[in-house]
Amino acid sequence: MKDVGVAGAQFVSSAVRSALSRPRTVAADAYYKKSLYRRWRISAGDRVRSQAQESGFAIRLFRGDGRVGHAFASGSGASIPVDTVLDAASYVAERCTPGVASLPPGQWEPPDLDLFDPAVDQVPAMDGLLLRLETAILEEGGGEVTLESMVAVAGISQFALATSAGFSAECKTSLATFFLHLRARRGSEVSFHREVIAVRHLSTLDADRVGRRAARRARLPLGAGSLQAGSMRIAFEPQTACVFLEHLAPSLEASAARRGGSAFPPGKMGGRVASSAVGLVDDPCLRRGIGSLPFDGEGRPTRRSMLIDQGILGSLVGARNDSKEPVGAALRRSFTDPPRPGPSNLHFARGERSPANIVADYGSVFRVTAATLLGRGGPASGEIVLSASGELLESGEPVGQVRDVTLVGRMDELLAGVLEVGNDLQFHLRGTVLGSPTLVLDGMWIP
Amino acid sequence: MSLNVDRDLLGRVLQRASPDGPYAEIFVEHRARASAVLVEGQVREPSCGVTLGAAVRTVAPLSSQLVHVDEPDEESLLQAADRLRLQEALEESPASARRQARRRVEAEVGRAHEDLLRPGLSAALAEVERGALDADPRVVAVEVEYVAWRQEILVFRGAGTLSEDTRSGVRLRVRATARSGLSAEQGLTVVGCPDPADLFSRLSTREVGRRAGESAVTRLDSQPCPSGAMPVVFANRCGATLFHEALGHPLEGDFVLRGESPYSGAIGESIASPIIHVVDDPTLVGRRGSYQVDDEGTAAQRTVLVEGGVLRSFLTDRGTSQALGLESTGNGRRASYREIPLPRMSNLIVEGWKDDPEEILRSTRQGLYVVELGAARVSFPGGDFVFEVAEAYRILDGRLDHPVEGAVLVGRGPDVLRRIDRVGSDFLLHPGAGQCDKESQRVPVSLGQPTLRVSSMDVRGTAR
Repeated sequence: MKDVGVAGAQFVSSAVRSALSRPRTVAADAYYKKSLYRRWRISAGDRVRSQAQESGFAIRLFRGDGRVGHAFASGSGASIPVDTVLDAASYVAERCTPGVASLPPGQWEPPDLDLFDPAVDQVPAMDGLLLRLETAILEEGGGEVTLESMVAVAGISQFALATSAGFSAECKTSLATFFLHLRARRGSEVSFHREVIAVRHLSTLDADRVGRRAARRARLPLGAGSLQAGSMRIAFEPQTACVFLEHLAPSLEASAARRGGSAFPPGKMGGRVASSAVGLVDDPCLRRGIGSLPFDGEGRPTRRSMLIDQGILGSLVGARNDSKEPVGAALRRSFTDPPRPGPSNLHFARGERSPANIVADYGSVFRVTAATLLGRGGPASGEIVLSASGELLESGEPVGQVRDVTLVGRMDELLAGVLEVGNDLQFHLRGTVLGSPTLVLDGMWIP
Repeated sequence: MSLNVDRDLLGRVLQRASPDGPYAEIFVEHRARASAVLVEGQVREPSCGVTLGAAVRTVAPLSSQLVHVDEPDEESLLQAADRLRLQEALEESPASARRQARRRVEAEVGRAHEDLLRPGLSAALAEVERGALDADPRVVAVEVEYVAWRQEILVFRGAGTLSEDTRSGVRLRVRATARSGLSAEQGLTVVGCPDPADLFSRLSTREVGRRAGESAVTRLDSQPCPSGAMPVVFANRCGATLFHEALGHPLEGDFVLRGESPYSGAIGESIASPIIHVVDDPTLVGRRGSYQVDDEGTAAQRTVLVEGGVLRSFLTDRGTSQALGLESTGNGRRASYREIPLPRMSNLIVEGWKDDPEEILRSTRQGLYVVELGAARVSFPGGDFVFEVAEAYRILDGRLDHPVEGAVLVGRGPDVLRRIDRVGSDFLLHPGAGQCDKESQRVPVSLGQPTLRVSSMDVRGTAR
């Protein structure tokens, strides 16, 4: 894909100038995004490849009375002209309640977070990775594991943002995502395993290791038993521990807390909400991070936020600074969506020791290698129900396998029950980007 | 809105994409979308916009290729056709050449935003909020999300075969938060209809809000659900979600073709209780899943899926019907011009039977009464499912007792369909704004069912 670079920056700057000529407009910003996606779908006897190019732009008009209007169009102004979009934005602003909008920021220099790898745009490189993944899965599967399907999406995106206050920047990113769906069969017993892997740079994906690990996880439930009702000490592997963040994420947004829809109402700020082993971070500035952003959806600098530090609640996502200004956590999912506050790389902070050393010290542990969030209560009551599979460990040594066990707990008790956190931090795409190391905790029970 | 296309250009593009080879088509889509959020009495983030694009596709046995363009002019469409024929990587066409192209697919953008974001919208959304806050003093916060869209499509399949359709929809999502002491719960109500102009004339705004507020308070008052095997009664308000996941998806042609469906090869066989009749019907007037032609240009039709418990048909698109040796049922749907069509449900209807719904409840000594199902996970080919229960009550001595939370239903679709022993006469097409996700594509659907009972299901709850 050719660089949107100069052309994109010129386009958004020109759109901002046009916007400022509209009546009653005191400020504006314009956003342009262009993406190229290649998609592979491989399943038994079926191989489909598709490719898509997507581009579009959005303009926001800020009125003197605090109204804001957002309008968008696909393309780059040829089929749907900028003036048509500005007409819509002017109309839309009338539907907004007057208030105090935060005006767009001025110029500053965004950092280079190394978010682009040209290899993601090369078909042979992706073909090679897919072949290595498939080979590793089948080899490790020992005749028991087959590939139900493997979907890979290789995307290159370029976006540009300009504001009437002088900010102007472009960014180029790559993302390769692999959706694995494996079937394991032994006699009449069948189990399925799903896994999603996402990387910015192809060189950071060890296809052989990932494929073999997925095959082992797919086979693990074969011949597995169940567990008796009662309490259990549990070690959640990184991708399974993310299920807690999936449940917690809505509670971590400042607007939800202010309106009472959060496990962390304003009165809990500065108080203990987890054991001292727990740190929770949102860091949009991670180099090569799959949720990283050099600038946010409004053009503001992004920054690392320590939400929970050694168990103490210190901040929330989208909280405003002391001057009541946004802090650079506005996300644009697409050119069709207005920027909204949200986490970027939300993760539990890594600990000191390896997971192997940790589980060796904790006696009987159920290590969860696959977990699905089944049910949940409200954000504050925090009831959580999981379906989990994995293996039983005694002083770190496997002594049995377990499948489809229901685990129940309360979020506040689970956070308080975290005993130790591993040093194996990994990030996963689960709608948003979530990350966790291995978590060892008490507080879950089997009904 | 209207699409202005040059048939001669489309014909040349198809000829170039597939001169003498596989089936080819061009799909053109123009979509307008508007949205707004009301929080703390204020309308925030109002937005409106339009997208216009086209896709050229070839379908051959065991492979299909698709190339999309965002600004569908003569040059980019012909280049897309060349790439399909040569199976080359998609590269960018020169912007200057595109702007000079003489012929272009054009959409009359008009003033879609005025249809989709009407001047009275702010007041109507505020009424919804008022309804939720008035439901109970414990309701402390309300968020109302409004989304409206209008879509116009065109499918050109060569030999002068051109099909067009216009669809629209509007969705109102109300989330109320109720708080009591340290406990907080949220209630969700989603309603919708096809025409944005009808939303507030069809519905009582206060009533929609009140339902969300009451749902939040009900959850606040709920108790942990016990675990075990028990009869489960599904209210007609459940909206056939169980059937959508446990029957509808496994009957989609791609699952059948890949051998992932527990119903592969079962046409003509009994797969459900003999009192079960299920149809998929995109021809219903004014429903979210309705259309006149599907996204491959095949005419919509009513398809009987299960008749008296006997499997009668699968749901197919062009590719899967050919591979299965069947006629397409006109269920090829795509989320946008950027996506490949997949066989999908439209309006899934579980037909009513003769049982009195109140008597179904009275005759259930102990069990679970499910009013609303939440998220689901279904595994193929076994059809094993896990359903989150969003709202439910214990049944004790044939009466509704306290609300319960944290319940999960676990089972296998084929087993549950055979265990349905009562079907009520109170069929209800759910007023909600159903959406179905498959392979990252989201399309609007409708669902309807009567009250019905499964004689025994595995319920897992949070009661210690």
